[in-house]
Amino acid sequence: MVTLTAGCTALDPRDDGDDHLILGQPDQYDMLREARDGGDLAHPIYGDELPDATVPCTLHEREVSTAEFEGERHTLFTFIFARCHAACPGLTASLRHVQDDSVDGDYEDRIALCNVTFDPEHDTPAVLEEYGDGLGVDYELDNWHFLRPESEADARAVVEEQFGCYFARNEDYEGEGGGHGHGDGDGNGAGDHADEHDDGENGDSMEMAFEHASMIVLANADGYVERTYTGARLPSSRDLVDDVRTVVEGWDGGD
Amino acid sequence: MGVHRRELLAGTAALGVAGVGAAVTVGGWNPLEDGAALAEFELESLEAPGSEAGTVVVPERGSVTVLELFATWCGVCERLMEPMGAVYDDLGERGYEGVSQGGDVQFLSVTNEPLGRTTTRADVASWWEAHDGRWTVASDADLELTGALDATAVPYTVVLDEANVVTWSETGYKSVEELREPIFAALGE
Repeated sequence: MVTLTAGCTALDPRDDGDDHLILGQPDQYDMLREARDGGDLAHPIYGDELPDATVPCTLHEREVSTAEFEGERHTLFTFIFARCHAACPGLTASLRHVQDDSVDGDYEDRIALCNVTFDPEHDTPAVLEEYGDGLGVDYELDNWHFLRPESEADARAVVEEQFGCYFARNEDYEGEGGGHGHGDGDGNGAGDHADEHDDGENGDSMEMAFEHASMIVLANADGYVERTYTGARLPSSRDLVDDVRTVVEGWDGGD
Repeated sequence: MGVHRRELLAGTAALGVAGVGAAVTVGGWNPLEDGAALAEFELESLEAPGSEAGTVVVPERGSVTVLELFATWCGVCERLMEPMGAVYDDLGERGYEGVSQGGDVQFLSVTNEPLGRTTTRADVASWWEAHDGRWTVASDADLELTGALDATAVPYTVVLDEANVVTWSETGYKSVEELREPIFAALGE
């Protein structure tokens, strides 16, 4: 199953001394690896190859494939829907923090920030662009991508099956204007706490259209996952920026 | 509940069975776990109602500190401004003369948004005014405070005692009562 090329000896990217990865192993990597290899973890983890997905990008009016970044840019992926008022804005804001830091660190051309919606029905290109505007996204840097699968079926294939980021329609959701609550599937404290008190401006319902896992995937420019942050492993923006910086600078220094 | 969620849960269970190590600790140092004082941070304070451009040191040693991390894009942060304002009026710099402490309570709201390129200081000031802010508002531009508190979401409200030890921290909306209780506890009332 393996094709050897001259100079490449580390076939398993997880082996120590491997040159595909910059960051060290995450906490409890052995257990994560055992769970992942045993089929118990749906999402890629440290050392896995980035899923090979191709999704239309609304800002650039073309399809973007994860493979096109190989050799070009490190990548961050997160998975959102624009109507979400709990975890998603924070996930998107985390990528925005990295985008801003990419200017400070002069690596804006070496990172791609990919915000993937799993609600293409509602999240039209215009909706997504306005959503990004509200979070301060800088489109002129040309490193931000809104990836919008063409259908919910396509979203399920990419977001849930390839990236292992759970999402599900909330059957109790009462439609537009139904409020700001959130299901308990996001694994994010802010969302959960916010729900209990949501007497929001838009109605009585405490539900949102989807429940979903909160996940950010950081992959290096060789197409290998350096970190998957999810659930209780979600980072502060400081920690995320630090990890990205380590990858960027380690990459530059490693060649 | 979908297949993958079950898989994820099963994975978690499997990790538990494997039994390597104790509870999963994430994000490094947790100020709530070791009882150590939070380091002092010098932040840029912003020109806005109740707030002057300059620098502010947080947390102030010798007084109880109520610190809220927020962002202008955050809807829950908007709704938190009213109860925070009510508690500030009651316990903030002008109000509180505690029996046992006799000190002030430092109130500070801190945005950790990147400021200056897209979102500006003026945007924060406008937001602050629109939501009736009337105490010091500052920027954690380098995310040092955010990182030290391991804040992964906003709003994130933290109460520190007069020795700068975090005594309470929670995300999400809080009522006046939910805010008052940990503040009074930190005051020793």
